[in-house]
Amino acid sequence: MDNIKIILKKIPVAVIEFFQDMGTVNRENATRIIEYEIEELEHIFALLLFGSFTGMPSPPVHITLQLLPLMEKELELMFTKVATAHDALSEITEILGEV
Amino acid sequence: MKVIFFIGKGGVGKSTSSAIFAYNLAKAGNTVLLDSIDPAHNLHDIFSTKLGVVPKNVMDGLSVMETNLDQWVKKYLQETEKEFKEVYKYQEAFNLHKYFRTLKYSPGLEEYAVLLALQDTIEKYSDRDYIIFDTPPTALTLKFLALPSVSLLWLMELVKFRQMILDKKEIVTKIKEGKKGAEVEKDPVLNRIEDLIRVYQKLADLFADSIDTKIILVMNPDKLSLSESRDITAQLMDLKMTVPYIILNKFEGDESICKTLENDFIGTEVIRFKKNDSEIIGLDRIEEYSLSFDLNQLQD
Repeated sequence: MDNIKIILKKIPVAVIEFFQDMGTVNRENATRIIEYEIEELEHIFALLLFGSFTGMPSPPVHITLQLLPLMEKELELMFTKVATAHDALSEITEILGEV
Repeated sequence: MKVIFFIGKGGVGKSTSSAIFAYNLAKAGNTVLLDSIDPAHNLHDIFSTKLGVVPKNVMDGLSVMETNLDQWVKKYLQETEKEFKEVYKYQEAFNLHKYFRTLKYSPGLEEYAVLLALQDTIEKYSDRDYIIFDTPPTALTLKFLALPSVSLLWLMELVKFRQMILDKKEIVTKIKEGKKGAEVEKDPVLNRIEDLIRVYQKLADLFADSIDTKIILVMNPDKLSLSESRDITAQLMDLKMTVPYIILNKFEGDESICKTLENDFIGTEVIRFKKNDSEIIGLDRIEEYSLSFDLNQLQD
């Protein structure tokens, strides 16, 4: 009897946890596309600043140099994009497939 | 404090004119600092004395200095490299520090160094009545005068772009973490861009301030010089800067060119500096030369 009582007590907690997890999963799904968009925007931002690497017109060197030390993440992203750029479609379908 | 720039084609006599001008302003009881920001300095020859990066008193109220631009490029790159090393600790493994050695040859750094030097002089010696800059020949001068506005154009676009990214990040944090996420840490890149905007805005305002900043165009009475002066004035107009005075150096009495100038440059006063048989070198010669024309026309 005691065991049943304990189990019965646990049920509402489990139900609440289940719905909470569902919420987290849904929020993750809802934001995945925006996060992908942010990543792309950060990549473009880095390209705008360090465009001279790829032949794009870039801002005056002193602006690039002053922002360079703070842009480690964006630079890393830029180099990753170089590797994945040839297969952008699969990258997008991967993101959409997960939603 | 008033700031005066002497600009013009190479070899027209910017340094000599600025020295005569500075001398007369000091003689009239003002405190004047004359600073050469031309990489090829002439002022030490004109004043016949050794000059350096620290102002040297050459007479009552007049001190002269020659800015070392290479030193500014070096200082700036060293500071950036230091900061860069702090962030990218692993960079030495890839020998990235070697990249900094070649950076000093990057296009655009020279005019940036001029700007840094200029800013430093203005901040350090703001107690003087006049700070006069003897500038490099036209190309570099126009570039550094345009630099604040050009930089601002880029920075304004970058700040908009960065803000858009941050707004989206904020949305994601809010969805994921609820309202707590609204207090996102201020982005260091955005902070840096905003700091740069403040610096360049200050300089752009200084260059465009027609009351406290005067641009004096030096030219010779010949066609090439006249043509370049027209181009300079047009380019300065694009930067919202005007030329209130033209010094017609090596003037030989041909009034027709003065008429052309008065027609072409409306609202600009033409000051005639007569051609001299011998070179103006040394304070005595400057004084002697100054006596030969009406000083009142130099009064602001």
